[in-house]
Amino acid sequence: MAYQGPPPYQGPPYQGPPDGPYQGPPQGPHQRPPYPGTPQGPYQRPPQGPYQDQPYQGPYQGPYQGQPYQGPPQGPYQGQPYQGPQYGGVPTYQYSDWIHRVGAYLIDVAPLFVVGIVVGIAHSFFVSLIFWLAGLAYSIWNRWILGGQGQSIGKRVLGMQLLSEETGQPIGTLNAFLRDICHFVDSVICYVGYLFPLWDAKRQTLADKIMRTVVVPA
Amino acid sequence: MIVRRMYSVPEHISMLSAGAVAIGAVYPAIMAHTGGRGIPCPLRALTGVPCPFCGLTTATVALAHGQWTAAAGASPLVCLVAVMVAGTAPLLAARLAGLVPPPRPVSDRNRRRISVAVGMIVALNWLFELHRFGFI
Repeated sequence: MAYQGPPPYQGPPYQGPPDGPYQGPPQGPHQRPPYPGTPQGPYQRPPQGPYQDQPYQGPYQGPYQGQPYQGPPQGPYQGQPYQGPQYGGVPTYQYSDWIHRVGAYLIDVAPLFVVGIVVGIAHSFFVSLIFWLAGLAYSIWNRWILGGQGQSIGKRVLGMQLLSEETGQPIGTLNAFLRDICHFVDSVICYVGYLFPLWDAKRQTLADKIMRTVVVPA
Repeated sequence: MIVRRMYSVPEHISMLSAGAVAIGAVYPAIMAHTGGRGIPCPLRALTGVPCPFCGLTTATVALAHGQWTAAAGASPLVCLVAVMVAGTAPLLAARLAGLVPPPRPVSDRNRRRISVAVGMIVALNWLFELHRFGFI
């Protein structure tokens, strides 16, 4: 028997779209429209663990008609970390400032300073070698956790985090080492590159700009 | 991108400069005691060419000892920063005392204008340094 094709449609006729008010576009996480003054939009940390940015709900829709306040519906604070107050409707954003970054650096190098003193005053070559290797291992490990977790010892103590500007994630160990190499650019102009966070909009050093990294409060 | 700061950029630079002048006041004594040769410029050490910011240490030490002519001869940029610090100091003091609210954010457009102006000043200072070291 030859194929006769599909049977004709037997269901109800088409009634058009369902009635009801327009529900607006679906809004999931990170649907917030970018700030119109910035072509790339502000830095927005992607969700990490318990932190979930709340979707942008749009402007004020009218007088309050809902239920009485029940407290935060989703437990502890789930938005972005502190971004500063709103001034005149313009969003403000916060990066770790220069003095805190200097403090984190000093904490990071403090063990190396002790190692240097010990190596300098030790009369035994073996003791000097042990401390020198310990200092080297500490430096590598500290860089390892900086790339993997976004926090070196100093940054962890002072509550900061090194993240990728594009992904909002730690940059990885290899990129952390590359960033250290890029610090040569900061040094080669009489170390002025390290002062760039004093005036830069994102408080980046030149190495941060090359590697597209930012330091933000953890 | 609007960044909110408790102090303006000139005020930040003023605070840094105050610390630099304090260090500059004792810097010669430290170098004499330790036998150090100062902070080398990596670019000049590697290539012989001074960087745009060469002379910062020399000029800062000279300013800390009140030697304006010597400071201007080492780095005019430091003298410009010193003038800016002098102009910003009253505002910074008022801000620290809580008499003045935090500064208003600078728009992207004005930030770009300021960046261009500062870049031109740094370029001029580099020309001066190149002339000082006999390259032009």
